[in-house]
Amino acid sequence: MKRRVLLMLLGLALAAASQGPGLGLTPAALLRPGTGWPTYNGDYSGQRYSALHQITAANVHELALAWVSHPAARGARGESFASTSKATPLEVNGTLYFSAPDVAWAIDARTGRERWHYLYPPNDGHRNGSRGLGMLGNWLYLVTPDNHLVCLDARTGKPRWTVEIADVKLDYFSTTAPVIVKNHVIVGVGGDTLDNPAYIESRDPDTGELQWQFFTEPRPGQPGSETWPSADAMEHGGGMPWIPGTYDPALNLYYFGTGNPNPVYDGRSRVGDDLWTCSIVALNPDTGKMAWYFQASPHDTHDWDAVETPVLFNATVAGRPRKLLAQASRNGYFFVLDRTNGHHLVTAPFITTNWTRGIRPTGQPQPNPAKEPAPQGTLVVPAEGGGTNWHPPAYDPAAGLFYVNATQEYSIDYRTALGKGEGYAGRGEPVGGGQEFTLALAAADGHIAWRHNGGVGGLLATAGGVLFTGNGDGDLLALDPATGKTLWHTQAGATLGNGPMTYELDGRQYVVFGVGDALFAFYLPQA
Amino acid sequence: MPKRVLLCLGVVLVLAGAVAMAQQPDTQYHPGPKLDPAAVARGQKLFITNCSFCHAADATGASGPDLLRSPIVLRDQHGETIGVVVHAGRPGAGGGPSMPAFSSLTESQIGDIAEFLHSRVVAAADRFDYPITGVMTGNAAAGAAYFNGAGKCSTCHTVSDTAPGTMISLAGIAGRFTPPNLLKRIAYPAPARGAIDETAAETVKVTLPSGATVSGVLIHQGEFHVVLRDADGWQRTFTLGPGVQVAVHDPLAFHKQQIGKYSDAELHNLLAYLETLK
Repeated sequence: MKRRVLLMLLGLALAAASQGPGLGLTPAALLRPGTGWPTYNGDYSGQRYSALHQITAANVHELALAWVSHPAARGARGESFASTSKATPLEVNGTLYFSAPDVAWAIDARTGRERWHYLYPPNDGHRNGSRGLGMLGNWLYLVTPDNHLVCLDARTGKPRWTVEIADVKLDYFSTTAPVIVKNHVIVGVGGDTLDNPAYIESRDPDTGELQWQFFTEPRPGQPGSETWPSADAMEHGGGMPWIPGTYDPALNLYYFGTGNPNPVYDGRSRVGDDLWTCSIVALNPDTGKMAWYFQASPHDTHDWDAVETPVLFNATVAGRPRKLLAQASRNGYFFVLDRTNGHHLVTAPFITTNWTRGIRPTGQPQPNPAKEPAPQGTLVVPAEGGGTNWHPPAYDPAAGLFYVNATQEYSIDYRTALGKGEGYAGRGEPVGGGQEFTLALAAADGHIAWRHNGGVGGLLATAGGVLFTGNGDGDLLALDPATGKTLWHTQAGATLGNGPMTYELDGRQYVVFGVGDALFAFYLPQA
Repeated sequence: MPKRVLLCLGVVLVLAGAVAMAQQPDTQYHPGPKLDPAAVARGQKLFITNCSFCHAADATGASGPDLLRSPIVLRDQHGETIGVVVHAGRPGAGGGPSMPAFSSLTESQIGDIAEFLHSRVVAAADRFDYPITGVMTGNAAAGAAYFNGAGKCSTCHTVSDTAPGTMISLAGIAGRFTPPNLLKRIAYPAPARGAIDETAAETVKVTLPSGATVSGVLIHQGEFHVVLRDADGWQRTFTLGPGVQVAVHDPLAFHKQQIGKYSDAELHNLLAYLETLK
């Protein structure tokens, strides 16, 4: 009996090994997405710019509903896709793959009908969200609220293996979408409730085995440790890298942002810049070794993670063609860097801010100590949620414009810890009356080319000359990327939760939005 | 057969568990069992007597380590891993002092100490329960001077019980809001809550292509529609488009401009002054 089971398992393993990807995802397709959407950002650049151009500024007003899908399964604690619809679906060979905390789905990209779903067992993890899946070959990769990386069979949703990436008992929780680079599955951890060290790591796509870890704080004696007062502060310094990064195959560099330092609202125990928290970091994805870093917020005390997608593009700046990286950061500043070496080219506020005393020659805003949170409260802009947050931005290479949904709001920031600061050690109290808007930022100098009131959710730029996003009233929008003028809108009944994405099947371009408990897909009526 | 029944029961139990968990509000941020307040209180006394000399009364560490950051504490549930260390003692980490064994503490006493430590972790983990205690630092006299002078507050507000004309009385406002909430409202009195909201409501006049006008309280202003409540109490929606003009009057417009101009000292002085208006 036992032997028969073993033989059967061996047979299955051989069958799996002998199969090619079939309708799976080849490594080549990850480099050239074509008509699909095989990664969180659509491709490695993070531009969320699709070459598809069937839907144009001239015909977008004809968009019709292709289907609506209500992903039905609920996570172990009852969360639906609705409560945390943060995932950007992948589209690979006619199937959409996406997730919510504890759940992964595969649905038919032509009809929205479910093919399968996978439910992770009940667990203690904090259910903040799930940003989506990574894919390679026939396999999908999901991180769970309690910090496990699960490999699923993309054909069936059956788990292949599960490994732990961080200990939920220490208050880590995970929300990222795994990023596949060559034979690396790259994941970062989250959770700044208590004072933990943060890291991203790489796992073997076949076995889940750890390949490398990169901690976002140096070890005592290493370069960067001089920006911390003690080994203890560094060991408990936070800096969670909770957003999927981007990758330049030619430079072989993986780029990602790191979160705020800990204790969050209390800088007294961590006097100094607190490297490499609130930073954009470039790593060699084969070794996990850092090539360079750029700190967006030295010594942050306002919970302004610099995790927002580092978007990669090439453009001519001051007469020179450059390989660039841009981030609209939660602290309210837009940064453009040379992505070969991290040297800064542009630092420009995209909202009104009041927390700095100027810009350092190296491009970092210099925090004003008078605007640190205090027991009596300090009036600060942006509020805790930041000038922008995790929602994916977009870049249109044709227009040379970077698009971001921004928020302008003040808050009163308190340091509540009077003794030793632990965890958040304070909080921001938004005063209300905030404004949301979509901004177009010129990549060359960061100036605001246009502003469209009401921007909420992520953004998608397309070669058809159409920019997709949503607003706080539950409208889905198509904007003119050059002017911000509304080209199309429809009321979806809830606000856009994720980044819109697009793909082409049977010669038709689909655009998919995650709204409330549903995915809405649109296309042009057949001629 | 019995195996299948067991399996069935197992499935039912798992499902029942899932339903129970779904209904349980996720109020405790740090994962772990719910705390027993009586055990926390007993544990705190024991902790202060036995442990606070090295770990500080709030367990954040002194010559001994910060126990809120201790993986042993964080992975413990009811004293099972904490107890091992307490009973056996530990050699000092990194040249620090070693911990003696506390062999006379009973299992139940260690369980209570563990419960106290877990309550400290939960308190550190849930920022929405952090008390705001240091807000009152301003000077009331300076606040009154700002109110009647540079701040121009007295242009629209009075502190007497009766407010003439369109003036808005702030008499008794300190009795309606906690100091942190009053501070927020000084920075920007966002509509929605509190007794003075009706006067803060935005009004709107919509002019239609025919030239007819409809006015009321602004309910919603979106990119494509405007919604108002008319004098009879009916909500009316107008689709925006060519020839439709919308004029919004925002009584808080001054506050919106002012928020970027306050210094922290001015806000706290105003708070101190308004706190005298109980």
